[in-house]
Amino acid sequence: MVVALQFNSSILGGALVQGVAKSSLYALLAIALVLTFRMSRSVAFVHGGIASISAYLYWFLAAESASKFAVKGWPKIPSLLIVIVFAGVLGFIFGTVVMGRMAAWPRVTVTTFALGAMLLVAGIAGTIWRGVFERVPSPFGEAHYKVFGENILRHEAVCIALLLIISIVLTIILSTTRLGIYIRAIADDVEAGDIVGIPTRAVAIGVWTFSGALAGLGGALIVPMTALTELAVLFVLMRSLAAAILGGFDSLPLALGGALIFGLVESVVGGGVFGPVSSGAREVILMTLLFGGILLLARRRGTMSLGGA
Amino acid sequence: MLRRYASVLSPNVPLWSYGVLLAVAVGWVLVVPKFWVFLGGAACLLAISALGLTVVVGWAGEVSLASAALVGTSVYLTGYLVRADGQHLPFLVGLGVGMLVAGALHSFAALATAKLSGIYVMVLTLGLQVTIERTVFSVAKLTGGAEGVYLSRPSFLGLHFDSDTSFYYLCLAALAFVMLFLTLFRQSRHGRAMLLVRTNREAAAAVGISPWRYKILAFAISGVLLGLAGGMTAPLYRSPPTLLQYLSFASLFLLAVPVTAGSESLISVIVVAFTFTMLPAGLEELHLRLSPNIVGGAGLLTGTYIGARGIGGALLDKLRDRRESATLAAAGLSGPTVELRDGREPAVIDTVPVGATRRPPRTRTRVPAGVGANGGELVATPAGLAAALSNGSGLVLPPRPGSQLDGRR
Repeated sequence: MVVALQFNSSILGGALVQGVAKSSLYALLAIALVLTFRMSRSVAFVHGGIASISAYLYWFLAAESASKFAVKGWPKIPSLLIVIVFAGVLGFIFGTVVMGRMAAWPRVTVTTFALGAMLLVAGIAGTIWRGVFERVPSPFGEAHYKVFGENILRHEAVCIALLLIISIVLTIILSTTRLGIYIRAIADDVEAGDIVGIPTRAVAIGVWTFSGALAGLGGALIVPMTALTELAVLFVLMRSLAAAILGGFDSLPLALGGALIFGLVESVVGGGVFGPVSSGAREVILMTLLFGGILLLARRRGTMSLGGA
Repeated sequence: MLRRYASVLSPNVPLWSYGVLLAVAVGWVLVVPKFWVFLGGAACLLAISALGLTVVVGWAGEVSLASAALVGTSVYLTGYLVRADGQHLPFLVGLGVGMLVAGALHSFAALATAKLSGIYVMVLTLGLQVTIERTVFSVAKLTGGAEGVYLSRPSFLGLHFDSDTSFYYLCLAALAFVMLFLTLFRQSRHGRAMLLVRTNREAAAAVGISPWRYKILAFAISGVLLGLAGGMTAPLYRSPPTLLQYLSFASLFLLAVPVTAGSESLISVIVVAFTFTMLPAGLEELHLRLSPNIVGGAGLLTGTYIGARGIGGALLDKLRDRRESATLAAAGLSGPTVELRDGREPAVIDTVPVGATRRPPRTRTRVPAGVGANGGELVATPAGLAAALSNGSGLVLPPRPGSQLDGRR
């Protein structure tokens, strides 16, 4: 865990490009986390489970061969669409439960419930596809481009483009449409939303469905860049969670900024721009960032008081 | 002193059932195959971890997601300190260091999050879990690397724990000690203060109890117990298990035990820990391979849905109601109602259904039973009901003296 004081400017450009590509994956899940936090004021760990089972399902449908399992080998884009619909259904089911009887439950209880759902869903995937450790094909092919003299895969480029499109569409919906006004009203005050006639439950379940689909998309797009293991998605979820926290859990642009900071720091430090850094030291640096973000957020919200829930 | 230790036993559970429980805990390993004895030891250690987490989750009202990393840290550290190619220290010294380090790490997490609210504590402890995975678990000297290392089972005070059965008894003794310690702690001034902090932080602060200090104390106790479980896990397996057993999902699995069992009964935590250990293995015997994460996830969902008192609380309610109904029935009052009298006046104050002390979900016993002579409300708690009946109708129910906090004396 030794951090040497060097600066390798020659690899900075490539590290930045890689950082942006990584950020796009963190950001997809971070957006899902922020949206659902605004609806139920709890951390939707269940997205980790949805992303995980979606990754397995995408691999099962799209992979052409596997060492131990019979896979389908279907066309990749339709497989991805099926996975997104499946994830949306999971998000809908969980949203219906959370926004029903549990709507008034304490945040920590709902968050613990989401943890249980994540563990259960990941456990189901792990039971069906036990011991899978596979490379997953990208839905967008294996081509690559040169940016700043650095290779960037088409998969990474499409992830960045998808993230930009989703962010722009969401920003337009949230700021200009009636649905966006409803969502923002519920995020500010659910009771007030009820009083003025907003169908809060239906809107919230809709948001859960959409964010579930987003988590599924994130899960399916993560594994071509890593490998399909039980913990790969959870590790990315941890980064996304940190990004959402750095972004204040409330603001999509800030969450995207948080994801960008995390992706860049991870790539720049891990890529050796400041000399060789062990994975442990990199984790400590990212953990410090996360802790700093939480302290800033807590100070801003005043949740450091005794009763801060 | 003896009386104090005797108070560990619940008044709602017949004394003979403790005898049966002890006989079963000691005797079952004599009649089952070796594999199940080994699992019994593992279940005892899971129960110790879960009891440690109960202090944080059930008594302090916080959620820690770093538990598996702390157990793993203690597993590898104790293993390194004790094994022949490590430091070759006596087992108890290695175990003590493992417990202290786990306790210190957990206390550090509590210190860092002392003033933060629940979900941030969850996120940060998950961050600590991932950090430990990437730092401590990557030190090959500690973990033994890919080659693996051998660790002999301990001997101390002239006792040898080499066989699975004798090591199970060692684990069982440690579990009994932890159980006794936690029960006495919960009854102590500090335990009550911790419960008050969980119930109402503002009220606790108003009477001079520092919520932050008790949060840190809860994390420290929990860390030490997680360290104890980890330190004993290394010799149980004779070789420290792979780090895959101590990654993030394992923390969620550990959390599932106290959440399912609830904070009301420590015995229920142990029962759930044994079930969670034995169930996947039992199903595997039936050729049904189930990921432990399914058991853990289902437990977390069920426990959260039932509420903080968990399955243990629900069972205790049933036992309490049965005991009270049986006492009333023995006194010839098994009809649908019981008459309450003041004792000094012949008139009946009120009529209370026999089953009135059955509490609605998520509330405590508080049954309005009429209006007293000074206009105040009479409340038929089990103790109050007993006093009223013994004055008025000559009926004597066993009193339960002392104040009650969270349903416990």
